[in-house]
Amino acid sequence: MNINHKLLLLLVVLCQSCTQSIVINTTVPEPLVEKIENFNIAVIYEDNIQNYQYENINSKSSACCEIDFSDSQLNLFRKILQSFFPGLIELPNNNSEMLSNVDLYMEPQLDAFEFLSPEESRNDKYAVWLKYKIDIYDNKKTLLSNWYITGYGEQNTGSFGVSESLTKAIDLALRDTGVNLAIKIEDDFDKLVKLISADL
Amino acid sequence: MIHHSTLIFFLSGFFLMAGCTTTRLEEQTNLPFEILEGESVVITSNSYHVGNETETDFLQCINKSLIKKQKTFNVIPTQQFINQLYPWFEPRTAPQTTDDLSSFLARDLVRERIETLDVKYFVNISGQTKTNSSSGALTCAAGPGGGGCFGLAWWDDTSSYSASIWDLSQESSVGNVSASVSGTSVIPALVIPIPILARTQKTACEELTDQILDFFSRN
Repeated sequence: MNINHKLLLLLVVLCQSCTQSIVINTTVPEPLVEKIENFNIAVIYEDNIQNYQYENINSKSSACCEIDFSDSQLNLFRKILQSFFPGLIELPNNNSEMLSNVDLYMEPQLDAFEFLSPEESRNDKYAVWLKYKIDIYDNKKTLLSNWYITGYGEQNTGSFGVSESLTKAIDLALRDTGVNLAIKIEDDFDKLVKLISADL
Repeated sequence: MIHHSTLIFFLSGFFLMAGCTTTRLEEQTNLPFEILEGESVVITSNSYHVGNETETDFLQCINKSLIKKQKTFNVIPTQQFINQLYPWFEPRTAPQTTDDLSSFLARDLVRERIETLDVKYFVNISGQTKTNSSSGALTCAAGPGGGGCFGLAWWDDTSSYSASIWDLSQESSVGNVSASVSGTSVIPALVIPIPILARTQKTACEELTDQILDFFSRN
């Protein structure tokens, strides 16, 4: 093997080990929603909301393959929930203590994260899906309901780079999750209140 | 000799035509309206949820161009407006037709925010840039002694966009303007490729902006 072949082999090995990584820093604006007073809500965020890191070594995507969500999901849920419930209490996820002044406990967790690259979908856009499950308990820690909240975002590659397009698609999917969460609270919170009232 | 002259004549003509664009403009007024000094408009576009393909950079171009070309009314940058109304002007929740305006404005907080911002009109943009056909061939090669390209490639682009002006007080479209720009781009390469591009999208942006300004100034 001559020197050129060795260099070529080294280049191939180096390129194989190159992994693009993306850090998501989504911040959602202050939501324009009516506050729900007189309810004390405690929220417990699962680990995959607090700092989710996605890794897929088998992806065909050219935007392969490490995505660090940092605290984007946490900030999203905080922003939406605090805008509805001004007295929101945040508890650590190993909490087992029952607080006497809490009416409802919410436990959001990431259920699924999927994306399609232009190569996989054979078009010129990235498409991202997020699915969250929120378990809702009453003040005796009896399960009242499960909410499933989804988010979808897509971004044309167009004038953006590969990483930038995927980042924008994830950003839109997170914002869309906030939209669906706001709609769900507006539409279904009354049902939870009725369940609590029936429980008493 | 005659053959060489003919070839040079055709190639010169081809390159002169390449990079040129042709434009078609249309305007339609449905209802009387007026815009006063200091009032605001927002450039909007339909969501990808309904299959809209209008490019983000085209919307940014219209925003910048409208801000630059006039001082009569305010143009609130689209993303700034979307953030001000979050979560009610996102792809899932923004009005997609004038029929959606009444339910959109029925939210007290949304109506109050729009009144605070003094927004009177949405300029709803639709359309996209498409490559109709491409032809030719371009080959590039590199070796220890250097590299280069040889060949000729060309393609036709059409940038076709329309703007519908939605009056928020009347909850209806008061008119439409449109611009369609076609052009041929060519890349001849004899060692070094020289792209001669027809900037159809940029031209469409300028033409549509002028159409929107003309529309507002005549009413």
